[in-house]
Amino acid sequence: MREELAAVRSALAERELEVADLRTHLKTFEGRYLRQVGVLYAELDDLEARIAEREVALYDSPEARQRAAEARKLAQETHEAAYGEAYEAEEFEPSADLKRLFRDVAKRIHPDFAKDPAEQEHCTRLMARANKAYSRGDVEALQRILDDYHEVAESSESEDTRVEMVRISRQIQHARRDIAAIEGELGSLPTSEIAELQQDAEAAELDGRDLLAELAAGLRAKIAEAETRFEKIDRQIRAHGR
Amino acid sequence: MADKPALQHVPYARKSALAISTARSGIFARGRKDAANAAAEAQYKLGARHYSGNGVVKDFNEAAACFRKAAELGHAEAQYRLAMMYGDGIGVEKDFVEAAVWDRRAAKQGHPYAQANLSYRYYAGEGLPQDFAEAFGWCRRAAEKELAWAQCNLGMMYRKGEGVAQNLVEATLWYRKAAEQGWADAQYELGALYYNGQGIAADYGEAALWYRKAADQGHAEAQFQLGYLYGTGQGVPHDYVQARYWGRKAAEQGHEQAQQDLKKREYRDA
Repeated sequence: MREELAAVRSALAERELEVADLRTHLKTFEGRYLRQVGVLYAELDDLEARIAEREVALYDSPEARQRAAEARKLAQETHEAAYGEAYEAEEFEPSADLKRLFRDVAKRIHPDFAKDPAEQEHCTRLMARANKAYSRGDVEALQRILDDYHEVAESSESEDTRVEMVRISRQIQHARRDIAAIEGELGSLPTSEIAELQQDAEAAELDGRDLLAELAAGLRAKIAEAETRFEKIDRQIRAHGR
Repeated sequence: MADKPALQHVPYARKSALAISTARSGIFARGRKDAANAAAEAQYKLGARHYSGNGVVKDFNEAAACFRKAAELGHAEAQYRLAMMYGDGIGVEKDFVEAAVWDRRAAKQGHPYAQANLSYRYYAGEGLPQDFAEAFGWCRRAAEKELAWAQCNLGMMYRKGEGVAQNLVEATLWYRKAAEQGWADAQYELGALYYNGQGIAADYGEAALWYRKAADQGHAEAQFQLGYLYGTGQGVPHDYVQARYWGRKAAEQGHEQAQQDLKKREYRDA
């Protein structure tokens, strides 16, 4: 039974690594997309909102105001989306060391293998920290988490065999449940919009195309066109003397 | 030790780093849509060249085939042009239902011309059951993108109260937008609203001004009305020469009333 637990621990750690990798990979792509393309959508929407607001100055009507308010709301949403947390996501190339360390950490500190609620809570926090450290590529932080854990583990080493067996069987059960959950996530992540976009980008790269650069170029053209419209309406307003 | 409380399993927070808000998901969906257009661009361009015979043999069947490939990849412009070809029966068998299908796909992507065409199809019940409310909704989207034709139609729907409650103030607003873009029908309609004082204070001078703009573009009804204003001295100085000039221009274009007036005058002057 102990061997079975060890095997399940390894399998779970492997799956945790896989999902952490996929998430970080997508996060990196998301960051790149937001910096190269998202900010241009934000710029375009802001320009459209400014145009709609100038329209109110030119032809005031309840509907014109509503259009301006809607355009401004969209512009704000786009801005928040473009400059959100993922905007900062950096390029990520996990080293073999980092992967090994994460696997090690996941195997030991996974909350599924905690002995009591206090330890489980502690491990849950550690696991979250480990995931963050991994996505930052922070080897030192992962090492610290592992070191901290050793102390905890060494401090609780007295258990009779029967209790131990009950605990192990429960741990195996929980770990299997979590493996299934991770597999579910691994299955659903690639169907998110960002993942599909990333797949499109990878397919384009095989054709020697840079999808994000193409998107950015298209958006710059749209922005230029919107700027022309903005200037036109601005001229009209000045001509009307408002 | 044996009576340790049963461990309550709380699966650790498997909150995806990608728990996405709608706005963020929106920004990705837009990227995918624009990317689809980029991917189909080559196919679309080839179609456009076949259509105009630019560097390749002019071939409408080939153009339609290219547009269809690009359209299926989600290229909005290709969807719109394919719809046009189905509507006109060029390069494909004329099919209003297919035309409406492709116009709708392009319209949903925000293509203003397709939105205006879809609006028309709903209005006329061409390839779709007639539905003024839908016609109005799509027309409004196209009009908001500064499409003069759609702005003029939107003005008309507000004026007639089709698909929306009648609102002459809104009618004036949209006619004016189209008129300022040089759309002759809208210039004439705006002139008429000024003349009748509908949705706006009556002003013969403004009426004459907008009739004149449309008349200069060859709008027969505007020419006739402008001639009438010169004849009666409303908004312009009384001027029979101008009145006759514009009346004749309208008659030359087959304007019935203008032709009758011309005949009467010739009979009288003979």
